[in-house]
This record gives sequence, C-alpha cells and structure tokens, in this order.
Amino acid sequence: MSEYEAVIGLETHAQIRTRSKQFCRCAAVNTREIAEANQHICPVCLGHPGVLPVLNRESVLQALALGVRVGSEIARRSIFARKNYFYPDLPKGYQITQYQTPLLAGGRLEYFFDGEVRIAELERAHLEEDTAKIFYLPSGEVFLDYNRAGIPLLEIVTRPMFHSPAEAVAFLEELRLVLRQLGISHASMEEGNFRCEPNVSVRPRGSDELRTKTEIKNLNSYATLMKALSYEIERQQVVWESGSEVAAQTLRWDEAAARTVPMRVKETQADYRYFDEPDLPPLVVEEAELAEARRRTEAAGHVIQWAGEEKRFPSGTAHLTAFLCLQGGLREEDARLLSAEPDSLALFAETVGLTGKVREAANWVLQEYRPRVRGERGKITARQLGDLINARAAGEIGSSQAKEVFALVFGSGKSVTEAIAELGFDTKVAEQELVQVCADVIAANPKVVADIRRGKHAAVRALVGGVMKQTHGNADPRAAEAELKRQLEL
Amino acid sequence: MKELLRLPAHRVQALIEGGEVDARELFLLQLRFARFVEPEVSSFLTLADEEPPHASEPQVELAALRGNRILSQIPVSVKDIIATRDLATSAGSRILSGYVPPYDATAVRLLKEAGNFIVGKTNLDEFGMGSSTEYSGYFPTHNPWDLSRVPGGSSGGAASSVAALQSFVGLGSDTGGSVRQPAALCGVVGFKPTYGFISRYGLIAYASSLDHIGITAREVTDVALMMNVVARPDPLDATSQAPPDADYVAALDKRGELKSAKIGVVKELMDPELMDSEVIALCEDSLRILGSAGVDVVRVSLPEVRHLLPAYYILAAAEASSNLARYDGIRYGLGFPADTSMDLQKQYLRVRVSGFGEEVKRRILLGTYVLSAGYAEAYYNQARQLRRLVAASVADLFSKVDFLFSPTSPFLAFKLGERMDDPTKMYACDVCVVLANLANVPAISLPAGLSRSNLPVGIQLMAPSGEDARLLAMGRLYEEAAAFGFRTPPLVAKKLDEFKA
Repeated sequence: MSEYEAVIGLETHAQIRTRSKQFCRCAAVNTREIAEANQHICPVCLGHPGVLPVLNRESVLQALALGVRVGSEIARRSIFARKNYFYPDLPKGYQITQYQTPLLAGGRLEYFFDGEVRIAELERAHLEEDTAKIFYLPSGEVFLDYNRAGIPLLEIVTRPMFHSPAEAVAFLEELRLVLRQLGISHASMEEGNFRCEPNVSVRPRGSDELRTKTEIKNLNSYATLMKALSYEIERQQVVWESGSEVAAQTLRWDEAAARTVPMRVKETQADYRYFDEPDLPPLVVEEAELAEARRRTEAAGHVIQWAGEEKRFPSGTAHLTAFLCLQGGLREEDARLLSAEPDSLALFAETVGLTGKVREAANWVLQEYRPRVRGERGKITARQLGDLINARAAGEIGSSQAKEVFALVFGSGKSVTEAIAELGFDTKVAEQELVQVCADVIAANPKVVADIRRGKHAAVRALVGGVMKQTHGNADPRAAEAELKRQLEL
Repeated sequence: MKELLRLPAHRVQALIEGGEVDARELFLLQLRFARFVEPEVSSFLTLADEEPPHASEPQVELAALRGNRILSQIPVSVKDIIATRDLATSAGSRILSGYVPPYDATAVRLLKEAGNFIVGKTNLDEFGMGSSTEYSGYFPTHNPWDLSRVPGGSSGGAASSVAALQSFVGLGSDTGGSVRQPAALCGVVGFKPTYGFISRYGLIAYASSLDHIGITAREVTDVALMMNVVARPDPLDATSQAPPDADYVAALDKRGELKSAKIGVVKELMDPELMDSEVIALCEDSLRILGSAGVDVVRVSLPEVRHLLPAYYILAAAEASSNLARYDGIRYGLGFPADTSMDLQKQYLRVRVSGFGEEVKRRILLGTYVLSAGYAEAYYNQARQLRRLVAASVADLFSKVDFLFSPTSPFLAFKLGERMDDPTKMYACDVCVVLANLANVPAISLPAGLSRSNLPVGIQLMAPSGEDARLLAMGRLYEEAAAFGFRTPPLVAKKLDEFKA
C-alpha cells in the first residue's frame, strides 16, 4: 500500500508550570492519588454562582516564551472566548479559551528526524484552562476531582505536515524538550500534563490534496499514539481502496481491541457557540512582558565553550545535534542525548574545552556520568573528568582502572591524582622488577616467542598482556613492550 | 422610635452618630417591622436572624481609607442574586434551592466592613430575568402602593423593601433596568452606576457584559453614601474600574454648579404611542421643575430606540445561555441522588427541566439559538453591532448635552398576571432603561410624583460613562427642586401605626 502517504497534524495541550491556576489563586497541582483529590479548589474553579475569573499573568509569560522561541507572531491584544458544552468535568459549562485571536500565530520548530533537521510549522498556540479529572471507580461510580480544573493550558496546533507516526513522535519529543527547557511545562505524557490529539488523512503519494481527516482522542503515551496512528492510516487506505470515502469523525483508541473506534456522535458534533468572554478584558501584552519572555528564551538556550569560543544554540536538540555531529564528529544518537540534557551537555562541553577530546568526553558523560546522576547536579567537575581523560590518554592508568577512578572521584570531591593513589594505581612497577617480569613471561611462553622469531612481530602484544597480568595492571604497557622487544632483540 | 423607619438612611445615620439612636436596637426594630409587613408585600426570600453574626463597628481602615462619609450601621437589604456567606442565596431559582455561598460578594463584604446590617435577601425574577418579580421561582412580590399590582422587576423585592420600610437601602442588580424600573414603580430612587464601578464579584451572572450591581434608596444622598462604600476597584473582578478616590457624597455639594447644565429629552422615549399619558404628563412636570431650577432643557433624537429591545434581548439571552450552563446539579444547588444507570443527558435534563422556570428556559433557548452556528451572524453579531451603534449615538448626544432624560417605565405598575401571557409585552417594560446598559452609561430613576390612581412615576436621568458623581449631584438637584421626598405608601403607613415596637 505504499502508493498512499499519511498527512498528520497535531493538537497538543501542555499544562503550564505556574504556582496558581489560570483564573484563581488555587495551587496548580495534579492529583497523584485519589486521596489527594479536591484539595486545591475554591468557588472560582468550582464554578460557583457569582464568581469571576482573573487571569494569571505568569501563564502569559510562559506562553510568550514559546512564542519567542518558535518565532510566532505575538498578538499584542488577544481575546478570550467561551467554548460552550456540557460535561461533568467542566464546572462552568464552558471552557475559557482563545478562539479567533490566539496569543500566538504561526511559528516554526526544527526537529531531527531520519538523520536530518526538519521544520514543523505551527498553526497557532493559545491559553486556556484544564478540565476536572474524572475517575471511573471499579464500583461503577464516577468520581470528580477538581484539582485539575483551571490549571493553565497551552494548546499548540501544528499544520497537517507529518507523514508518518514516527515523524510525528519525533516532533512531539522535540516540542516536549523545548517546553521543558524553557520551563513552560513538565510536559510528561505519562503524568498527564502533556496530551496530544492527532488528526490524520491519507492521500495518493505525490498528490498535494488534503482529504477528509479523522481526529483521535484519549491517547496517553507515545506508544499508543504510534499504534493508533498506524492503525488509522492503514484503515483509511483500505477505505479509499475499497472505493468508499473516509468519514470526518472523532475517534478514540480502544487499547483492548487495538483499534480506533468512533466516539458517540453526541460527543463530537458539538456546536461550541463561541463568543467573547465578557468577564475578561482583552489580553494586552506589555512591552516588559515581551522583554521578560525574550530573556527567558535566551536563558534557556544552550551556551557551550567550543575550541575556545562561546557557542550559542536555541533550546531543544535540533540545532545543537546538527552542530555536534558535524563539528564534533559525534554519532547522532549521542549528540541528541547530550542536547536533551543541559547537565550532561555542560559537563561534556567543559570537558572538551579542557581536553580537546570530543568522543572521549561524550563517552564518559553518556556512559558513566549520565546513568549516575538522575537529576542531581555537580557530582563530578569538568576538571576531574578532564584529568581522568588525560591520565588515561597518557597511559597512566588502564581502561578498567579509569572506571574505578571515576567511581571513586564521583561524588567524593577527590582529585583524580588522589583517587589513583588511593586505589594504588600509581605504584609504578620498578625498572628492575619489570626486567624480571618480562624475562619470566618470555620463559613461560615459548610458543609465542617462536611465532615472534618467525617474524610475527605483532604477537609481542600477547606478551605485553602477560606482563600486565603479572603486575595486576600496574606496569606501563609501553615500557613493558619496549623491555620485551629489548630482551627478544627485536 | 418606630417613626425612625420612615427616614432616609442619611438622617437615621446622623441620629446614630449623634448617639441618639442605638444601631443594634434600630436593626432589631427594622427586622421586626420587616416581618410584620412581609405577609402583605413578600419582599424577602430570606430574612436575617435577630443576632446578625456580622454586625460590627465600622472598620477603621475602610473609613480612614475613604476619608469621607460612608453608609454605616444601617439595616440594608441585599437582592438574592448577590452572594452572602452563610446566608442562603438562590437568585430566585429553584435550581439553587438550599444553596449557601461559601463567600461574600465584594459589595456585601464592603457593606459589612462598613458596619451595616443585612436585613435579608430580597425577591426577584429568577436570575434577574423579568420586569415584574412574577417570574420568581418562589412567589411574587406585591407593590406596597397597591398590593394587586407588581412592584416591577427584577429587583422588585429590593424596591418594595425600601418603599415598605423593610430596609433603608437595598443592593439590587441591573442588567436591563432591573434596579431603576421597580424603583420607579415603587416610588423610590434606583441607581445603576457605570459598568465596573461596583464589583460584580459575587453577583450571580445573568448577562455579564450588561450586569451591574445597583442601589435602591429613599434619597439620592443615601445612594451617594452607599457608593462611597461599595464603588471600589476589586482585584477579583477583571472588569472592575472604579476610580479609587471618588467621593460621591462630597460631589452632591457641588450641585449648584449644575444649574447651567443642559438636559436632552429623548424624543423617541416620550412618544405617546409607547408611553402612558399620565407618565408623560408627570415627566413634563419634572422638566418644568428642572427648567425653573435653571437647567437648560432641550429635545434630542435617538433613532436607534426601536432597536434597543431586540439588541438587548439577543445579547442578554446569549450570555445567559452560557452563564446558566453551570447549573447541572453536580456541585451545589438542586440535585438528585446519583444514578449511574442514567444517561448523562437525562441527568442534566432532570435537574434543569425541574430547576428552571419558564422564562429562564425561554431565554436559554433563545440565547442558544442566537449563538448557534449559522445563526450567530444574523442575530448575535448583529446585536453586538447595534450595541456599538447605540453607544456611539449616545456618546454623540453627550457631546451636545450633559444629561439625557426619559421616563423610567413607559407605564404605571400593572396588575399581577396582566403581562404574564405575552413575553413581548413584558419585555416592552424595559424600553427606556436598557439604553443605559447597552450604552454603558450611569442612570438614575427618581420619584416624579403620583398618578391620579395614586401610583408612583419615575423619571430617568443618564450621564456620560464615568460621570456617576455628577449624575448623583443632578439627581439631588432635582430632588431638592421637586421637593418630592420619599413618601410612605398609605398601606405601609397604616401597618406602621398598627405595629407595636
């Protein structure tokens, strides 16, 4: 069925990180377990009679920071609207959102996919409020938790422009990182503060028409997003090939049946009767707020010292990954991992500055540092890691010794020299001793010596290995090789 | 002592401040007389207990902040559409039966902080939707001047409670004339400030862009004293825009400066086709009084008058359809035991069909219709456009005159039941008063005398947006010139005679 291609657009909702909710002073805290439900509620977020919303300006700053990052057109005056519908999770019977005039219009976000940097085009992004959370208890009872009601949301909508589920996910991962690095959102799908509703259509490959799309709701992980989109793309192809037409529908992913199923018409054919929210004046963005958003966006970017020069990259991974691959010769995967973690990246970049050894620094950071830190900072300095890399490069220690040194230095504050001494790796095998050990090894390996005599000089390395073993790794391998060669008169 | 109940608030407050009257005793007296006359008029949905939990000395902070005279230690009534902590608040609707707000409206909080006493919660047309108080979800209120007649609405209970000596001042709400029209029909003063001058926080929403808290009182000075308490900027209302330093009482002293003011009489609102001839006659009398006081009276034209009612009823209904969506019986108010076997839509229907009255349902349906895809363009958007046109025309008139004049109500208080069968006849009551809400200008209704049948008539004055203090001064000027102070309805005077304090 390769004559079809998918066209996917994404509508994402990120909970904005603020102390209080979008329109009241309650703490914006997600419930983790049901005992914590309905702790952060007040007359405003419960939609009591007579209450009024007051906008949380911090959510505006957060949204503006994204706008600056992706180059959106920022509406200096935007309007809140009411989206009217009935559902038990909607306390007021309407959601306050932005409709005709969103805060952010357009914008572009680069993401890495299939070995190249691609550009996603954003349609819009606007502020709104979250709904309450509904728990369906095993008893059949329905439990409403209004802690979530009124938590600030940023809705981000892309153009329909991704052509595979994997590409959509690559973009989403990049968006998630940018939101996190800007401090806008925790953006964790699993924790429910980052949600995605894709829309998808298929068309004959090479065509640029846009056929009828379907929307998929209730996806709570990247895995289900991939599965649902893959299923839906295939389903639509079959529909078109059978000569019928795909119907415009809202679907949900049925995990048990592993298929998409239409939602009830009542839930989808809504006329939201949007109109301007009379309780909120137009949102006018102040110059000072724009400046603050620019400052935040700048601060969230990556700054690294590279070959004695300061290099700056925007938040996210795309730009930096491209740089590290091209300029540093790193593998794409390693470059992306480093770009995604400011801590690892900082240690890496500083270590490179001290040692000039790009790959070694990347390997140490990704293989030894990263699995150990888990969010805690500063357990090893670039100075320590640089000394370690240099000691290893100078042959002062072997590779397994180096790992032991790392483990000792990490978190202890000890210098590399101290650690090497403490582990006894600095007790250099004395010259006399080395002469004796080499003689012993030659005597113990007549077969190898015979090979060497026949001209197979590379076999000397096997003897070096023997020396290292006898000395428990404390010999300098280069000195050992020289001594062996001297005794064998090579 | 019971004769004190006839006084305007500012005079009784002077007696309290002079140590001649004890505020708590006055409150108890007020409460007992309110109960005594209540079977006749039915002004209240809830009357306070004899020990008001909030009664307190005025907070020094508020008085100091004002640095001027405020309403203090006076028994006031609060329309039941304004939230009062620990005192049932139903908006006159069955759907909120048993609802006790967990918070005070900002205006109520300020009233309490100023040391005033709440007598009770006054009756109204359900959610403020009506012009006679007959659409209350509980019972109608009767006009103290003639018990067979309506007090007007929707703040009918507020007006009747002030007229029937059940409270000195009332907080009402005015979305399309709801404070002014009943004030006119009950012979008291009714004032709607500029939008945002009194916080809407705690005012149960009917049509948010038109909703105001308003004031019912016996004299203009009482309105000014009340404004000095409640007209404050409020961080809980994003549309609040009260000037923080205004002194409405002090402004009354400058009324002498208004003697050369120009008043424009809106021709279209004096049309004998629309207005009762007795109403027009009393309005002309009032204009003569103003003229002899030196005010320049001219006739002006506002051709948009014929669009006022359609524009108002479309906008108000549209916003109402959204504002009333929250009444689903889930979190508060009328509810039913959970029935998980029942379809969600049926549960909504069960609550909303039994909880809302006919007029509310009518407006929700109308509002839903005018906002629906395919119809919004023809109705809701057109009505918004009309509102802008009306506001522009009114602003234009205010470039030529200082105040606008009209009757408050086109006709006298009508008989209970008379207009219930035809909603458009009921809507016609509001033709003069909706103008101020649509154009967002302050407006006041003042007593203009009695008809031959002994029913009150009111005149309406409007001022440019934000000129609330000047409007009150003009009202005081008229009040003084007309020498038509507050009169106790004969029936109430008789009850007062019978009352044993």
